[in-house]
Amino acid sequence: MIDVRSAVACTRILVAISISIGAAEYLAISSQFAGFGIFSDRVYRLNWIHGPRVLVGFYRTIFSYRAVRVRHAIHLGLALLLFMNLGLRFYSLILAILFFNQLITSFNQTGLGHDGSDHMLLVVTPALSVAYAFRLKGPEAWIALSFIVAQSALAYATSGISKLISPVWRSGRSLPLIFNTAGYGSSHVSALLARVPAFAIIGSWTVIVFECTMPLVLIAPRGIMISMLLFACLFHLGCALAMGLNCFFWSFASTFPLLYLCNVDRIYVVSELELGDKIGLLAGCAFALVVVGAVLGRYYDIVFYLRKVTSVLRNSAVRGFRN
Amino acid sequence: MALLIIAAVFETWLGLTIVFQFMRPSPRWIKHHKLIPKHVIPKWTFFAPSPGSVDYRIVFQDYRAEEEPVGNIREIPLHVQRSILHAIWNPDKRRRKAFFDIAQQLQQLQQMQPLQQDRIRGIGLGIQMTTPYLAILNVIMEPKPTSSEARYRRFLIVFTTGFDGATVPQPVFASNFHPFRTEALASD
Repeated sequence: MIDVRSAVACTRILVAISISIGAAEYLAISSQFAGFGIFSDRVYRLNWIHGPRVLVGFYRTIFSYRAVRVRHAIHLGLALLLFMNLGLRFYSLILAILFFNQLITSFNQTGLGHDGSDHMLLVVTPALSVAYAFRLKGPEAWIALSFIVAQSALAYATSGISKLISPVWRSGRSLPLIFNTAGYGSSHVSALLARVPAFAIIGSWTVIVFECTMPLVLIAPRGIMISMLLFACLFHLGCALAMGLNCFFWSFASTFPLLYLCNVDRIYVVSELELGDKIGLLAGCAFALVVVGAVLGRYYDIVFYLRKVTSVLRNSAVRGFRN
Repeated sequence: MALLIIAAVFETWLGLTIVFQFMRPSPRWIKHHKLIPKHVIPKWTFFAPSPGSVDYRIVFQDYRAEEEPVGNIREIPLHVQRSILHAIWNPDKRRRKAFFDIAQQLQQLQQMQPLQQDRIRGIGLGIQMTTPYLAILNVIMEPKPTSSEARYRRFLIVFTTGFDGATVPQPVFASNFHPFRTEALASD
């Protein structure tokens, strides 16, 4: 059995490993942030040239080469502090600073060079910070930890569904295509897939089924849940070895202790909440629904999807009528 | 009150993440895309629905005058042989990913210019002033000119398939001609 404190501590350590590797990697390529580098400060400082002179000057200063190096060094130092035994509020503060620092890095580079592992850290660090701020107790901490669990489950489900609807993935052609690239591929794996094409089909469908069913770890029997989490670890280890996606392993594995915790021991139950907390939770939900609905209506092509759904239904009906 | 704020922030964040996964953005979104906090809204569709099956390469060449090349076509080295060590330590992936993202963004920006029929002849000033374009231009201007006659340089983004890039490179984006700075020519 695992309690909330131990599970969150495991998550914190794994997050710390991921952030440490990421920050150290950025320090290793720090020459890219100056002169003719791809992240050169003389290009990215042009992102903001209009506005009050003081603010533009401040922007240029914090995104200068030297400031970026200092920020990455601080990032590494703070991540190393997470390995130490500190007070819960200290962890909260450190994680909050790490989140904002990473957000600034992402904003500075306009997201260029960032991958899914960075996105997972951007999701986990603020939630973990909030949970620690409330000493891992009460509905506030419960919402923050549930957010990490929900994002992790969503990540696997989205990835699985988008592969399931892709003919390239279903036919098994995707793995040879990916592994035959210099960017994410591997000559050994590519040669193996070319020699034994059945491996490509089995591999593709294994990934699809694994990712689509991963959210079930939240409700699966304990034995199956542990097997699924172990398989997920092996999957990320394979991606790290064959594709060089080293930080993915640590970032995604950092959510597993909380997935485990959610399965074996509900962190909190809504019915246990007091009336005031229930109202607060409901008001938060209502706010979220309004914002999401507004974004959906204003920025998304709802008519396109309605037409698509209508055409699918019509085609199915016509096929059914013919049969 | 704290619970209300925390619930509102995390639930809105989760809701927006769900919405951003599969929905097709409308033209209005493209116009106002800077308003969307895309840095904190993750996209979880890894290698799907279309798996990345090509390698982008950045090549460049010096010119005496426009359409008068001088010297060979050169390439910015991006790809290295995969090793076991990359499972632990892989700093170069960030640089490579940045080039990959930039190549994709420039390709999209170019496709958004309906009036620009001839992709190789030149591009509009709008694209030239974007961060991705300037970032690549900054990188390709570093190597010294191959000849004292060189006055301009342009870059081309091509894609290849396979490890050795043995397939015929397909151009996806061509820059305009950019003159060298006078000091660079003088030092040469």
